[in-house]
Amino acid sequence: MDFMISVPTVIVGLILSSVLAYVLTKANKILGALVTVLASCGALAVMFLLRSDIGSTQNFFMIGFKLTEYGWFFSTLMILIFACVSFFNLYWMKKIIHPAGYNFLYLIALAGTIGAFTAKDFIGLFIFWETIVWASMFIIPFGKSRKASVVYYAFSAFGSLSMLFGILFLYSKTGSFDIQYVLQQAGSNLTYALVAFITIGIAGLVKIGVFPFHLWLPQAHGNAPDTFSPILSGGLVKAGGFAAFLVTAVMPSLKAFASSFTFLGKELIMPLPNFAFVILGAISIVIGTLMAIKQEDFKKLIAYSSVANGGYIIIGLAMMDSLSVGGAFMHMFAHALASAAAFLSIAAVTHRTGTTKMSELGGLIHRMPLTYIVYLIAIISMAGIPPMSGFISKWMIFQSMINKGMVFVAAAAFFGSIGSFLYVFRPLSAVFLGQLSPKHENVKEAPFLMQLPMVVLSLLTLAFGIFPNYILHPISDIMTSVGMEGLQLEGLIIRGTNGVLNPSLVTLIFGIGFIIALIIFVIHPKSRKVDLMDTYTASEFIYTPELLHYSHNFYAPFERLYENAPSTAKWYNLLIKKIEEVGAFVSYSLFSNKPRTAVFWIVCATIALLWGGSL
Amino acid sequence: MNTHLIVLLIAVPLLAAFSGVLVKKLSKIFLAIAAALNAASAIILLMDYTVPVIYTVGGFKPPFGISLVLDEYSLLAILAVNIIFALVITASCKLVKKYEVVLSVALAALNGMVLTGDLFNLFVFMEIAAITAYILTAMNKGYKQTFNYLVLGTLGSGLFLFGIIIIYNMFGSLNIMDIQDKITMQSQSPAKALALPIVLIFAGLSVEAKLLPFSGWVRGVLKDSNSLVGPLIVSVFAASVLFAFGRLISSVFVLSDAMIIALTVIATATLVLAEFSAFSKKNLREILLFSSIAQSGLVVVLFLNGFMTAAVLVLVNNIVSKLVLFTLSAKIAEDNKTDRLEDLKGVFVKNKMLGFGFSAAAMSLIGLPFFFGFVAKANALVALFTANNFWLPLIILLTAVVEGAYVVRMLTTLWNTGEEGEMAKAENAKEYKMTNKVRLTIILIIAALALIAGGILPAVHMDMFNFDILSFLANGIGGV
Repeated sequence: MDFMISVPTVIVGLILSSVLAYVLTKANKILGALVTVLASCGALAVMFLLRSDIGSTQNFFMIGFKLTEYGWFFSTLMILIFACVSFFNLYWMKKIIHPAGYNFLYLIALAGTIGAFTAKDFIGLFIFWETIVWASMFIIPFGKSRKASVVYYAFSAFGSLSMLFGILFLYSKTGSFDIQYVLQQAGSNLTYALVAFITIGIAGLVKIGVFPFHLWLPQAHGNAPDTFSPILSGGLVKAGGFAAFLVTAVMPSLKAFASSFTFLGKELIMPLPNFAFVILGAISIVIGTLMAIKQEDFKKLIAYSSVANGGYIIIGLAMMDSLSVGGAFMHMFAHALASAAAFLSIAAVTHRTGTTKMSELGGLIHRMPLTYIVYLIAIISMAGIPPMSGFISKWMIFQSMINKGMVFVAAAAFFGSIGSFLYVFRPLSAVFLGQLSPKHENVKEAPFLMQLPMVVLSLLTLAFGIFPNYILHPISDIMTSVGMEGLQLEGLIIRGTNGVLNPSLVTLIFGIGFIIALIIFVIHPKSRKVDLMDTYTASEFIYTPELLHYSHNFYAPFERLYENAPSTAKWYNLLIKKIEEVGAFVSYSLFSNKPRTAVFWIVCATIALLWGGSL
Repeated sequence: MNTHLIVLLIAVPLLAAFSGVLVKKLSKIFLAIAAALNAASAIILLMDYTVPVIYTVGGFKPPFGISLVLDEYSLLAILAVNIIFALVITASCKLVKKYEVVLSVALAALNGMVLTGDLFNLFVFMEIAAITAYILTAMNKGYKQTFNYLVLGTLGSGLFLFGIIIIYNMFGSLNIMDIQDKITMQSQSPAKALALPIVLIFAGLSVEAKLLPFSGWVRGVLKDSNSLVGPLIVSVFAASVLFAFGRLISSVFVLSDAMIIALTVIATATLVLAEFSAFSKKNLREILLFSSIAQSGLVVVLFLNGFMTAAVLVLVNNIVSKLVLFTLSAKIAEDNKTDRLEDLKGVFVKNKMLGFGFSAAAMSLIGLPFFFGFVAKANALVALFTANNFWLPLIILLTAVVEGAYVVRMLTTLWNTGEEGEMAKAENAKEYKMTNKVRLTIILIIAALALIAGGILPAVHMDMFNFDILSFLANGIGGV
């Protein structure tokens, strides 16, 4: 059986399942969705079995695969998200315009992600990378916006074609596509290293949604079908972390840029290109946080929070010390689980209530308590509060920042952490707390097959928050596998540069605090429950529950502080407009129905060429 | 190998045309036979091909007689021209009525253009092809546009003729190989002396090859064209002209560095500006016609810089995918009286197979992996990078983002219903008319599958970047 299980077999299996899913969906929609569940869960199981195969290489026709430590980490994380979300597909078949196409593309996207993370050659990486793009490019417009998909594609294409430029440039210089070899070679030449860092780095920045390439996230995540937003936010954006990791760590960026530790005569704590990434990451954290606070739409809110979290990941990877890179990996893991769980819980709410508008919801804690807890755990992790895994990663990244003395970047990161309380709490209060709208009196808890993946994600978030070392050990292996120092882990303790963290102890204290609070809550008199419509205004009774919802324009005073800030969206719109204007100008001035115009141009161009040719 | 097949590629369609004039009732059958025989001969020539052949008509040795050249380059050209021609007239055979003779003549001329080894013959065949194109485009009832095309086409061929007269004056011969020999024999580079005729020939060919700013006719003629004329012009005529263009650039054009830069700038500007124009358009056919202009620019850029293989791959990808895209767009426009993207939301919801063909062609056009376009564009880029040329790849890749954006806009709109902010729902799909669906579907799926096969098999079989399309095709067809 040994020869059966390898990365190519997983990919081929998924591609075959995708065709099967397409055919079966035509016969029975639920059956087709079931194929996505079984295929992605099967792939997850196989991926765990492949843990022992790390380091092995396989060739599948012309495409080579190599299972690296980091490739395994990324693949497994990605399949986990796909597998958890796939349960929701069962309930979404009726709501999607092309169910067969959806199931087909869902599995193709999964095959593409595994292929991208395990490709031995850059060209294989690019092929699978683009496969993910086109598969999701077809799924996104099944949701609320067609334009979103165009925005997504344009950004993604910019990123992946930038990567292609880098790949082919390095190929022309080194004569090879082999990722390890090419990056090692690039690391020993400043020009090659710079080209690789910028081009492949841009692919990473675009994918993970770091400023100034962050605008596709709110569009694509906010408008994709409810079952695909968690895939995008929890899964696919993490591919950006993969690309960034390739050029910061696999290509030893510290060694490659050893000569560029100074800027304007000042000594830097890290090479200038890395520093540029850190700055972009810090800007992303601030922008992502501020924009998330502004959002009225829940999915866009979480999308902007992904921008901020992408900033942490890029900072961690670019700082390139063992604690920061370990923190970045932990953060990818924690954020993947948390954002997938958050999107799924909202998908569950949408499934039961049929709306995503926060002002129409409220008080659902009474009807969907489990979904509420899932969402709560997810946002606690996203905000980086113990005892969730999001806390561990942020602690590690903060340790590293403080150790390097990067005050301003650390300030941005802290701002992002505190800001995240503002925005993640708002959907919580608007959707789950407050008073139940009379429309939703009869809403039930999400069905079991939806609860299952949500609970799994929450338990993982909690478990790796209490015992992070179970995941930090593999992460440490990743770092030693690319020649970095490993993490200092002892038993349940993580040793940082400025201190020691014992997450289990933190959890214990946290738990004691929780119990005390619970006791106070229980022994104190209960508040009286008031019906939402139990009110009147200016002697008039109100019959529209939305008008009584308090979450509308919740942070208006705060938003006013930065409402006139410069906007990247405006810049992009201007760019698009200019391209259209030039295009329209060309088509108007060169293409007319009057022969004289075209004859004029032909004669002019010919004379110009003759004049040029005689020089 | 039966070398007489080479001349039959031109003679058979001509015979069909003359017989069609004599026996009007059978002209459709004659056309069908000619198209089928030509496609079959092209495939037979491919299977038997071993070494380049110079076929001398009537036994007169070059440079005195008329010679036809069949080498790997022209073999690929006749394959592309004849097979796509057969597919186009099969897909739109309802429209062929009354134009059978013209189409037969066009087929002969298009084959002649890519086969001929003589500059003056090339001119004659180009003129014949252009005249048939004028007649065909008159089908669109936009007579003013056709008149515009006529004026520009005549001006272009005038410039071309002027150019070859000067060449004849310089070398005393119009046989391409003869000229090539004489050029290599000269002790000093004749680049400076050749600049004048080359510019004239380039300008003349650019009118038909759709380079900016020479191609003022394209938009008027193609934006309202039907599903016969449109694909013929953007696929078959474009293929012949560009193959002939490539032949001249590689043999007769001896360019100084300044000239290469000047011509490359024109072709690159064509690529960039036409992509921008396509991006600014909202109608299917208009988007596609600008996209063809842009692709022509890319092909000429590659030819000018000496990357023949890459240029041919990009050209083949463009004509096959445009065949699918333009045929279907024109068909939708004929049946529904509109090709505005906004009016065609969700047109594929009930025409999934057609949608599949369209999507595959579109994805190949923008060069996504697993489609032939990726192989073509990757080859082009690798060739440029290996020649240490980094600016052109940068421009090509940046325009590819613009190209991708408008192609994805087409795909997402045609597959999904609903206004912005609304979920796409199958129930909201409007009823769109689609006549002759089965035949159209079969033709388009064949072309789409060819693009997918061309994208996957090279990666499986051989080194993708030393991709020999002919042996690939010969092996592929031989394997079947």
